[in-house]
Amino acid sequence: MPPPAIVTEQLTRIFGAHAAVDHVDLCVPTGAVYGVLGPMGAGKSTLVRLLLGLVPPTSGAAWMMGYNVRTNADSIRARTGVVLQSPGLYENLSAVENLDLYARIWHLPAAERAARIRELLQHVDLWEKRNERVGDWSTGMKHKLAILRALVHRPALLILDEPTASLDAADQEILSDDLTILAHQEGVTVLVTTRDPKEAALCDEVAIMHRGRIVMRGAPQSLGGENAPNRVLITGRGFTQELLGLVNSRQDVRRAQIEQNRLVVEVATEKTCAAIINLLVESGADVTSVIKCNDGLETTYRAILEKNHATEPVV
Amino acid sequence: MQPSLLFDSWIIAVKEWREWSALRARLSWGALAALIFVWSLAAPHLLGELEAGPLIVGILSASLPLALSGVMIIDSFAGERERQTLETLLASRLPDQAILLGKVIAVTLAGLALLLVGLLPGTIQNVFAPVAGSEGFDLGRLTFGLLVACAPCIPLTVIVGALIALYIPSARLALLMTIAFVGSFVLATSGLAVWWVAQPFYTVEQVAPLLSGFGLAVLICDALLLFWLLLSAHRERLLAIG
Repeated sequence: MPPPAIVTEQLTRIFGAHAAVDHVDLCVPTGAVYGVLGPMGAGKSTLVRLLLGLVPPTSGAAWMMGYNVRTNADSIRARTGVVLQSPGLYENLSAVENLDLYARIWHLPAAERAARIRELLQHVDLWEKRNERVGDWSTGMKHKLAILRALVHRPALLILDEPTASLDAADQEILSDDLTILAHQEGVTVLVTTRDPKEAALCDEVAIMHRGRIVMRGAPQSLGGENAPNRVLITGRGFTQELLGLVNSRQDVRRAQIEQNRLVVEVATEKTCAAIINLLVESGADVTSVIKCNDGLETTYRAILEKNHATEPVV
Repeated sequence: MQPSLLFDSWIIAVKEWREWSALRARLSWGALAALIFVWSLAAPHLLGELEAGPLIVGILSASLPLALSGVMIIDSFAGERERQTLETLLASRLPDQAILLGKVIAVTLAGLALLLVGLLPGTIQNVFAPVAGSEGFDLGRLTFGLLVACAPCIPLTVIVGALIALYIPSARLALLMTIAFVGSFVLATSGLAVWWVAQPFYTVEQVAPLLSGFGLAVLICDALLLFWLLLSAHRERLLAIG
């Protein structure tokens, strides 16, 4: 079994009095697509900067592909491809010129440079637009090109810091698919940070980050299935506030609320569902349909955010 | 200095030139070069009969490349920061020094090219077809003097501008400080030249060694400041994080 691609031990970065990254422990297996899911300001970008050696850690340690980020940042960057939140493209230059610049930076020989640029652009159907000024392109196309730029030197590790944050839903989906295909074809380890649980659900493993700390980690299925509450959407009539209070008072109910004439109940286990239906019917409500759903990672993520928001001290 | 560092710097320098010469900027650069070219040809006609003509030509010919070099180096740092391309560049395998040096090389060579565009056309024209009434206006000697004295001032401005950009994250403040530096430098050296020429011990023969001495002194400053700049190169500082 190959050693992990990324290991961090109690990695911390403090800006003034604020801990942007707070005692983070990570272990990213080689060849995996690993997601770091967290809201804006969670410390994801600072974590990426720490791993790339762009900022030094205040305390703790990190190794990428066996290299220490404090002492061997150059070796790490030489083996890594990076896409940051902004595509970071030279907008006055064409797609080929942008890729050619980075191919030269990585000292690719001239013949290999041309072949690699052609291969990458053709793969995402941008070859026809290779000589167009990148500034005239759509945001989605720019992000695609930024990912190609990160892959131009065939890195062992790809780091993507919210690569789809500024895209609309359709472009996000296309780009995520392209990225997954490219990553598996190229056989690289991928670390992707995101605010979108759906995007994180595509990863092999996910760490949920909040206020600089990793609060949960594991495979997306296990995070969603084991920890997320099951939701029951009950449609019908007669859902009064009194009945809502009754449902909310049950110990096996996490939360119940009325949304658009539907009673939405978050239950601890699926077994609770039948008991609630009985309670509603016995109380005189008319239940017409019951839909059980498990939003998995998304539900877990939102629950974590809400819990942390509720416990936030009032200044 | 390692050969790979120079090679990497050259990649960055070429990138800078490609960006400047990109389609939408070509017209502006062409207009500017044409303006300088026309000034170079017109200067002997306009100022040939004035006693202070050579000094005025010298100040004007040197001021524009110096000011432009200052503006360009600030833009190449602050502009890249604002366009968010610098962080991606810093996340590549390039050493910090290569990025800094590449930008300094690109702007210095562009500044020197502007200096030559401002001096050589007028000089060449005057060699082959001297302007009537400008006999006292020795353009050949003036050009040589300006090149010896002004050429080292271009990298001086560029390196000082790079240091300012490195230590002051605000693009606007960095630009103001660099322009202030260029203005003060040009005024101070011009004042010194006027004072020197007004001295009773002054003779025309003293001009060449004086200019050479000045040029050499500036070159030494360039080397020291470049050393400081390369020592100051640090990713956290380049990104203005903290």
